[in-house]
Amino acid sequence: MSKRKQTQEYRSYYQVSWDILRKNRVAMFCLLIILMLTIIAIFAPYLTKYDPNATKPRDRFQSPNAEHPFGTDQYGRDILTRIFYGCRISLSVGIISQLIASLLGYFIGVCAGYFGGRTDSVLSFIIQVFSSFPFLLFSIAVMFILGPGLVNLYIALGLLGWTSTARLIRGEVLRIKNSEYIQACVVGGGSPFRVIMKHLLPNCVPILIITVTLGIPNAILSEASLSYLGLGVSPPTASWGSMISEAQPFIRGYTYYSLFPGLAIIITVLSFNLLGDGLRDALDPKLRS
Amino acid sequence: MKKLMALLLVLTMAMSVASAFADDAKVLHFGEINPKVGYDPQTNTNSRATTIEECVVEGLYFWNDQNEEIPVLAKDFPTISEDGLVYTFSLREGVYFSNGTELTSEDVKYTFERMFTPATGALSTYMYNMIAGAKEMLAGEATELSGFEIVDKYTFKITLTQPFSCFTKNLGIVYAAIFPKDACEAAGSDWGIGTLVGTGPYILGEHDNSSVTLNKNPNYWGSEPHFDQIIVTLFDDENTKLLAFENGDLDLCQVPTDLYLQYQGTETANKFHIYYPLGTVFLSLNLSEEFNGEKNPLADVKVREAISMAIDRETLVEFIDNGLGTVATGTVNPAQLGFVQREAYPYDPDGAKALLAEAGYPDGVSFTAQIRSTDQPDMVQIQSDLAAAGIDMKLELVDAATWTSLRNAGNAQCEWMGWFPLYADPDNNIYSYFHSSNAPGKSVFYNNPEFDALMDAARISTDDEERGDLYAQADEIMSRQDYACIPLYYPNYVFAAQDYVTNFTVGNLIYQICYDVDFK
Amino acid sequence: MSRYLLGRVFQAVGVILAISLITFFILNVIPGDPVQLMMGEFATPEAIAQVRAQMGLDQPIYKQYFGWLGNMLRGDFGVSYFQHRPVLDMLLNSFGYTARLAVFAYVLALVFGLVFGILAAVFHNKFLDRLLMTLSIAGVSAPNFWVAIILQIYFGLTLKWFPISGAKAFNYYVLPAVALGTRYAASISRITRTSMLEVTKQDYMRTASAKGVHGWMLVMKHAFRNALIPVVTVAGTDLGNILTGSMLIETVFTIDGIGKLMVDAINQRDLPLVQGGVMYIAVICVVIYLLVDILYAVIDPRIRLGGGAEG
Repeated sequence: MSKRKQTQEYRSYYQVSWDILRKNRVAMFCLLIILMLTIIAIFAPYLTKYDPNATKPRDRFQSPNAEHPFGTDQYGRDILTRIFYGCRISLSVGIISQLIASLLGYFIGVCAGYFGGRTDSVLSFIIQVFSSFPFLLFSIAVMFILGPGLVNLYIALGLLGWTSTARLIRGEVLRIKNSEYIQACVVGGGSPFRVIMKHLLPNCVPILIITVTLGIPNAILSEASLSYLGLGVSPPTASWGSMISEAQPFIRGYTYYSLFPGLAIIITVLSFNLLGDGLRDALDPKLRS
Repeated sequence: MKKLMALLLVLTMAMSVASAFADDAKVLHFGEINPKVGYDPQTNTNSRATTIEECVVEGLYFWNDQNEEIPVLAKDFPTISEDGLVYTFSLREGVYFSNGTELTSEDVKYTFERMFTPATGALSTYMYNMIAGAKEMLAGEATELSGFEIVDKYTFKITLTQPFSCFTKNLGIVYAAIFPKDACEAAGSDWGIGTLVGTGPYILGEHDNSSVTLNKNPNYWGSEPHFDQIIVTLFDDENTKLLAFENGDLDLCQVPTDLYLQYQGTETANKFHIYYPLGTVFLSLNLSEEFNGEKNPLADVKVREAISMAIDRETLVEFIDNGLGTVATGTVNPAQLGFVQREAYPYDPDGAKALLAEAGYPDGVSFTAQIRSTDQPDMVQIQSDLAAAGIDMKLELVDAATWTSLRNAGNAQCEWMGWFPLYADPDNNIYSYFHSSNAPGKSVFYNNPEFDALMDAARISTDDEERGDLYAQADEIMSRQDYACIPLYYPNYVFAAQDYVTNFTVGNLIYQICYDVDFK
Repeated sequence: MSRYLLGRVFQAVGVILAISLITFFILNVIPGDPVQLMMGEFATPEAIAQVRAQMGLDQPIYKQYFGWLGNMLRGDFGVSYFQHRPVLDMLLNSFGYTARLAVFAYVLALVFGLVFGILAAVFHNKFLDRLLMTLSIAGVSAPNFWVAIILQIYFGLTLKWFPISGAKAFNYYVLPAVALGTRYAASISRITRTSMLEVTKQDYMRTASAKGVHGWMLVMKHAFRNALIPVVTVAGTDLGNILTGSMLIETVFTIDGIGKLMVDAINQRDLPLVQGGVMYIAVICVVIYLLVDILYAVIDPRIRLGGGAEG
């Protein structure tokens, strides 16, 4: 056995994954973009000299120029500034709602898989019901009930995006439940909670990482759709979806207004999608040879 | 792949339905946003639906574009008893509904009884419920209208429970249009949906979600209608409607203010015409002492005056509303009885701050405005103005249905409101909004006995000059002393009309396309 | 087999019932009282109470639900509160528009998805592959209502090739179908490429290749047919999604389809219409999933045994 191979065997699962991911140039590039977007979101106030909300009606509808690289909107606000601030909404909605969704999905999936039998039937049925709902209509209804606001967006999108996670987790738990290692814990008197948290969770983390990363772009798109319908954050808060919706009456004369927020959404969603693909390749043991 | 191509081909054929064009008939193409409420003037108050309804049904009187009331189905204005309670009307004789039945007092009685029958779900009963017996019917205690007496085929008397100077004026609104008893009864719940029969110049033809066809009524009692057909094309989107106009598919349509600007400098802009309807745009405020269990800063008149001082109305109208409006100096519109030219409201952010400090809010105040997405343009600008004076107006974007429920329950704190009377009398917009008996349903809670007394006096007086004085005083108290609302501007309407369209004017909220409009 | 089928059908009926129940209760807690909205702001509380009683809305919720359910099973979906027309008529009328739009979008998605996917697989790792896959991932990432607006601007307003709204003739459907189909074309092309590449790695492909079958022949004759199975699954689910996901596209292009009807109805609080529409959509969805499952079971008998891991 050569020395090189030996060291490789000691490397942990995640180190190996990271090595695979690091070699994926597309995924790394997307990771870089996401990091940049995060920086923009956090430091938005320091990146621009404009106030995102203060109106200056006399400066309205300026086409992109040196002062306003993306132009100004109908209130004379700088569109680039509003896209920076909108990044906060999109990223936080994406990340927080998916954390809620994966938490919910994990517990429902793990309970269904671990307890099996009647519990499984009931939970699987619930999963099926929720995944057969017309998603957008359901989120509209939930937003009506909860009212406008950022926190309510997190909840509405989190409550609705958990079903695919639950399915995958359930499948994974069914697969590993009967392994000797888990069986030994059960026989050894481990409480279900302990088994679920201590032994099943680590095995499910790769799936959770993948579903969160691939769920974020969907949540961002859903937020944009809801904001477009006037059901997201209240004005004057900038959100990319509400910017597109505010721009729509002006498509005839001021095309740039609806173009930039849309491009911002595409770049963000694309980055998460490609990173998610890369993570799947890196983390899924079935694809490892 | 072949199958897919075949499928595509079949689809193409299935969907490309050849549309037939009328040859040389004189047709007016009017473009309108789809009202989606049916066409029964008793069960909806949608002005877009009203435009269509007014072509088909008529009332006893009618408010024309010049804001004058003229007798239509009634021969003349009614004779009123000394005590102002009993009105005697005579119908025009020999008027036939388009289904061939003759108009009689029986139809008028039926129309009002239908309105007060709870099952009908009529919306505008508040304009007519001073007729004796109306309230009993509305409460389900009676099935006949006791205040309505048929004298003969063409004569009837209406008795009111209290004198009301605007009763005849209210009868001029299409909400009191007269229906033929037999046809309306036969149609049942289809009335206003599939069926609508009246005495009007046009007959309701084919109609669905995309268009409404109105055919000339060949037996119309009045002067001959100008068009063989009016086709109202229904849109869901303003941009699309204007594109259709640019394409020449429409002869006439309204232009929303926010779309107006991007047409400046284009050829289409030459076809735009500005009109002055009767309404006023104002901030509607909740004046109750407490809101959501907390002290309500808007209860303090100084805070309200500070809000007024912090708003730059000139800039708002010039830029956000593209110059389509006149800065308001009161709540009564310039074309209404009781309008007085006053000084402009001062714009003084520093003065506003000082006033807040005086009122005990040196660090500014905070409140929430409930807005619909259509209210957004003005409100975002006002929010920014107020912020500069230390007034924090939060905006809560809700859907129209939630907005209405919040208001009705008294749970709205501040709203953008464009409030339009249906005729030039302030009773129709000021009384119905600010009188203490009406204010709670609109989340206003204004209660000044002095103001109420003036409004009540104007309701009883029959002398228009005296009434004008009363309204001027009432407006002074409400808009300039109490700041019960913050008047912003008198909005303009813009219509796009092709060069060959003549005689189109807008006097009030409702655009009339069935009488004067013509082609060169 | 038939037992599995029966079980799945029972489950599907259960799902539909559960959806109807959830919808009913959600609509009951949504703010905005439909009776108040119908009667306007001048209505007296007494009049509102009276109309509420007439409409049976004063009954306990469970009674209202079973009443509604009973009527629906008899084919009576109720009458729209605001348009006063039978809900079922309105749904059937709107469904025509949605179905035309969805079928058109679906055909576009299939044709472009398959062609792009095959091309990308054939030119694996070459420029064309990269280009097509970049386009696909961008297609999956773009909000479809935004794509719709951009299409309106360029093909409707600037070039004036297509009308930008309505659904009066075939050419009206082009832009909406492209906007709606983009996302699905992108996902179909991605799955086609992946499964084609997987198939090419199989032994029999290597054999075929060794036997001298090359290039296009190899792709079309051997790889494509075998790669089609996962594509069918994705495409099946996509049909359901297209049929129910055209809400925003219909709103942007003002097409009177089910989606727009539903958005308008929930905004107006036209509860019978929303309730009926959700049922309509749910039934279509559930039936399509059921058919896909059955198809799967026919193709791959292992599914019947576990029903497990893949869920």
